[in-house]
Amino acid sequence: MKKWIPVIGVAALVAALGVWHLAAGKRPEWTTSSPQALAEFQAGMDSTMKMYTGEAQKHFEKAVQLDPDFLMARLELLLTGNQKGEYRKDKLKALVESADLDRLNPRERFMVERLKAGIEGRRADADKILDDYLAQHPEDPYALFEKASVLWHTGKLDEAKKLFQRLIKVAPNWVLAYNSLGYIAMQLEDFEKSEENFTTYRFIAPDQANPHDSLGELLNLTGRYTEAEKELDAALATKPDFCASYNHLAWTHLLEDRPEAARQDLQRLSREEGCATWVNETRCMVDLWAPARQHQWKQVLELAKQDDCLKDGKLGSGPGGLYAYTAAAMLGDNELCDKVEAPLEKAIAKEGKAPHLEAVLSHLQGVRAAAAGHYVKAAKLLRKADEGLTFAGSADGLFKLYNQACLAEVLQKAGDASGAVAVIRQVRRVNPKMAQSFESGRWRPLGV
Amino acid sequence: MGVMIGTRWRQILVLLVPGILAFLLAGLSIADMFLPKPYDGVVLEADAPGRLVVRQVVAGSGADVAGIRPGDVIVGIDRDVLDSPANAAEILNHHSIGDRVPYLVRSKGHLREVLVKMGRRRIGGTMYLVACLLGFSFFFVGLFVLIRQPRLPATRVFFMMCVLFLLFLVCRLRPASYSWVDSFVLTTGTLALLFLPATFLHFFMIFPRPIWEWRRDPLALVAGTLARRGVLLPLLYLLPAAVYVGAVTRAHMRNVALALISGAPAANWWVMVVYMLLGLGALAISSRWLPDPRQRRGAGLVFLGTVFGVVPFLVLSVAFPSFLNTERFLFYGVIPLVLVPLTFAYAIIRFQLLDIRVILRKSLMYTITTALVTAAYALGIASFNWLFRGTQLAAAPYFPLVFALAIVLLFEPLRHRLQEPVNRFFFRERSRLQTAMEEMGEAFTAQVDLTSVVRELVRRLPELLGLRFAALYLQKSSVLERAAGPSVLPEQLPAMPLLNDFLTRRGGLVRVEQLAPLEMLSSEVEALSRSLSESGVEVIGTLTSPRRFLGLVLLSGTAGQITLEWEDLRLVRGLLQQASIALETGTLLEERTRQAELERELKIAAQIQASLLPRQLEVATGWRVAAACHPAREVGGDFYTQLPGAHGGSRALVYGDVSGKSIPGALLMMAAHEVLHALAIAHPEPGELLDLANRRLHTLRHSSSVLSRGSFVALGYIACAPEGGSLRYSLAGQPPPLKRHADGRVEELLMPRHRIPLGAFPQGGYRVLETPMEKGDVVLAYSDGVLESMSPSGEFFGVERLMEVLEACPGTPEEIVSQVLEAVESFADGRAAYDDITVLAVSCCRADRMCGDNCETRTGGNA
Repeated sequence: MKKWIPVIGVAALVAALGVWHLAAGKRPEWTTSSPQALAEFQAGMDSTMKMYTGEAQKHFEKAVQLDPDFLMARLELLLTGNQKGEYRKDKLKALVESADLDRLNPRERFMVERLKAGIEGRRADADKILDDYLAQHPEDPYALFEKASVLWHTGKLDEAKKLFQRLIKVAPNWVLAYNSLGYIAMQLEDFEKSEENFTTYRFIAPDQANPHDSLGELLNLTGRYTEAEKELDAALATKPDFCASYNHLAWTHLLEDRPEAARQDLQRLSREEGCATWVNETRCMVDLWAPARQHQWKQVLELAKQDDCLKDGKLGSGPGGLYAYTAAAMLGDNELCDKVEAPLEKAIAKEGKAPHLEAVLSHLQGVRAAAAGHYVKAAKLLRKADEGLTFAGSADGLFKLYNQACLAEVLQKAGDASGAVAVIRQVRRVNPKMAQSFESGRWRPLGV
Repeated sequence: MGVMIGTRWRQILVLLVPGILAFLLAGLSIADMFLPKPYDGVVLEADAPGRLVVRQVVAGSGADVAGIRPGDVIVGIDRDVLDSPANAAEILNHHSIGDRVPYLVRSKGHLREVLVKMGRRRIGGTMYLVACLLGFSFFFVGLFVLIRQPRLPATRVFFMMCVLFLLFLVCRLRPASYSWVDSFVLTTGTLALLFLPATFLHFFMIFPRPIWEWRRDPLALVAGTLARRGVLLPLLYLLPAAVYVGAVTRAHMRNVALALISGAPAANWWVMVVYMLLGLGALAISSRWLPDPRQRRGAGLVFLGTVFGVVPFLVLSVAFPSFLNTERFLFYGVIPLVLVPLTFAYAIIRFQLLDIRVILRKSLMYTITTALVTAAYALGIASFNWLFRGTQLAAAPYFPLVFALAIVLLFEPLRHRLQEPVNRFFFRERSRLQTAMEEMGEAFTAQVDLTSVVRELVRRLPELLGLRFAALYLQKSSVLERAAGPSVLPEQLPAMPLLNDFLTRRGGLVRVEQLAPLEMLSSEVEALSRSLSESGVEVIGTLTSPRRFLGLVLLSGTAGQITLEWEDLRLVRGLLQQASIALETGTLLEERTRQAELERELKIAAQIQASLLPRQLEVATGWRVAAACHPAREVGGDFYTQLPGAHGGSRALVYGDVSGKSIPGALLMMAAHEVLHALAIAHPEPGELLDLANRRLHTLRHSSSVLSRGSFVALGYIACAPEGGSLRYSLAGQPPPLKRHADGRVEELLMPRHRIPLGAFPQGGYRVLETPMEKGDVVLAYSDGVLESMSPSGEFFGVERLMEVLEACPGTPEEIVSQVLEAVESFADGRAAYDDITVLAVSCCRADRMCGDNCETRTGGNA
């Protein structure tokens, strides 16, 4: 009998550990007394993950109605409102300050404390709270996602990539991680990997618009317009009010040299409620595209003024602003050019170090120099712009390609044919169609 | 014997339990493949932890139709990104056969999404079927060897090796899919693979003898020391497990993917390589330097089996798929493995008295029959599928399961049916042998001639069993004499009860080297064993009847090896038992013949003896005499007779009781009878007569080699006075006669002082006493056989009871003799008399004058 005692002891210990593990695993993730509220909250989080902000907000509202003390639901409701442009900092601040942290579980406590630090402008504290929590809970997907996102947005791409990869090991179906990884891969010019991530994202969430849209962006950038159109159509079929996809689809059609189709996209976009912020930018792009391609700068400038493409001197995220600026430069409208450059210079001065803004400014200055016939200077500025620009998304990526085409054109003008060829080779590596268009002479971005 | 059987089964059971568990696991693993679960047709690479790499796609399956190809990676199934095969299994379990499930597949570096239709699972290809057959053959060969030789450590290790092979071949080479059963079975197969080299090394170190027992190398010494301290085996078997755990832990701590080769980390492969090299080294040493040439041959055989069986397997079936990612040669790696169980089993059994030929043939035949039956069933399955194709029955999810169960139930009976004719065909030689031995056994039972039995045994045994010679030694007094056999064997062998006991306990037949434990106890056995070995004797058997040890049978193989299988041994044992019975029967018949002769002679002797007793007794007128003599055996030592009396014309009566019975007693009685008659003619005076007779018999006793020193004659002498009135008597060793007076009183007559039996001592001095006799007085003389008659309860008849009988019987001497004999007989109540009984009664009819007409002289007889 004695020899069985250790065996029985070990078996009992294993059983106890198993029971403890099961019991520990059953603790609720979110603190609420209402199961219905919890279900609504989960649905809201799922919608957030799908980037369906409106639906998310509805779920969070319902969750708050079901359990008014459900702090996380109230916070998410306010944060979602922020994304919809209804940010109420005071309410958020009041809520986090009045929160009873003792009632919350560690993850909720961490989220509230970090948010509070953020609201109060204590960015270092917010980062420390995140780091401390992550050190204690290295496999918490929420914390991993937050940290990876912070790293990504601060330009630490490799670190961000590693953390997102860790996140998908912990939670293989955390779709936004694939989305982020796809964009990071684009930035790192690993388009295959980017496609892989977006494809995986699309596989997990084929019923969501965003994976199709993200993939469409990539395909636009890489010149696979037919596939891009298919994906963007799928995105819109999935969710007709997914505004960005109209813009991207219009872009696809423009790149395919189908301006009429782009105009139809614009019309569809205009019909969608809640897409107002996208309409103007898309219109600028659609309207200015053809005259800009034909170097009809006067028409470009007129249309730009008509569409208010440089509202308050801001370029916007689409090509409309760029075309308007180029037209101004080509037509010698220094006042307008200065008006566009000034806020950039101001922002750069404020940020201290802003590679993207500096690159954009260099591009603008390069275009202006080219327009003035200072091709060597222009080339230098455009090359500098190229170094600062990235392929992060189709807008940024296509801008980078456009800048490279400008550089090649300027180099040709400066008599550096081999330099131009080398630059176009870079373009071809990303978007062969765009490179071919340039090489065939059908397209010159500046027409100098 | 009971204890021996118990120990044997305990030893078997300790190994059988894990063996049967492994067998069940392998069986369940195969049965699991028939369950109606949705299956995509993907066979996964087993060595890609965390990734679902496609190793094979079942032709015509959903995956095949969807364009999934070997080398592709399953990234996701049904909108879930997979982190393990278990994850995939969980997802697929929510689907039904016929569902179309989206798969995310990385193919040639690109991700693509395909729809895969779920079908039924099918068992793997030909290679896996061969691996399964081989695995089960391993198991059965190992089991066979274990049951035959459970006491041999090498057998037990060999069985474990076979079990591990079964697990490896059935579980590790199983076409792995996603279910937990797959991962469990695969892990089991991997564990089997980890421990397999340990069993190899273990086996090689102890087969045919533990290497540390006969080698003095440093390594052998270290192994011996570790073995004696009981740490060798734990070290040997736990090291691979420890290395595995260490490698996994290290990879986990460093957060790197653990590279696996056939499921085992590279470190384990190095351990395996070291184990195999050490084992092969030990085996090479054994095959080169073992003192016994036969054992050297056995070790060499195992060495070859390992090199030609295991090395191709490791290279083609393990290294190639793992390093070169090709399974083209997998089949050719698995097939040579068959050499391992066969050569190992051959080596084990060949050197332990059993014949591997039968195992070889049996295993082969079993495999062939199984393959035939499997092919028949495969044909059946194909026919059924064809017949029921497109029907509702075929679409039912449990159709394959029910079908598989039906196959399982029908498999064994059909195999059994087929096995019998196959056995008959392939084992006809053995069948003939069996018949011949049965005929020989029957001939033995019909033989009564010892010579024929011996001749039959020694002539036919070598002929039937293909032996070099057979020899027979039969027990003659304290030695064993060679009754048949070659002259190279000694004429005589010492009879050793110790050896006989040993042989009897071992079932009557052992190999000479199995006498080793006995050699430790007896130098005689040691010398005998050595002598027999030198003469080429391989097997020694005993001939023993229930009554006694009869002799030994010695057998020598043709090529220095006895090729007897278990069933052959049983036949030989049976044959020896029949020979023993035949020998014993012959001996008994001889003895019986001799006894019948003796009995006949005794009868003649009894007749002669009876004829010596006088038909009629005449003593003197006025006296009436009756006598009777009942010998206890066929011939006796008691007698009575009449001699010439001391007075002219008178007669004296003597009654004698010689010491000893049967023939010696009878001979002495006759001698005494003749001596008395011869002497009485010249010396009728009783004192003188007895003195002379005493001297004569004493002399005779000393001069005779037949008569023992304790031979003498108790004698009583009675003479009735012719004129009546008194009776003279003398006693030489006989009890005092009783006298019943006419008034009924009974008394013992006085005894003379010198009454030593005749022949006991040389000196004489016998005196004659006289007692007056009135009319009606009766004197009863008797031998001590009367008093010593015994009742069934062990009580003696005694003189008091005799006196009572005499007192209660006032009749004539005849009536008195008759009454006494009846009383004695009644008292004995059927119990055989130990001693001869002689009764003699004398009565006086008239005391004052001669007896008249009414007073007759009568004689009794030899009843």
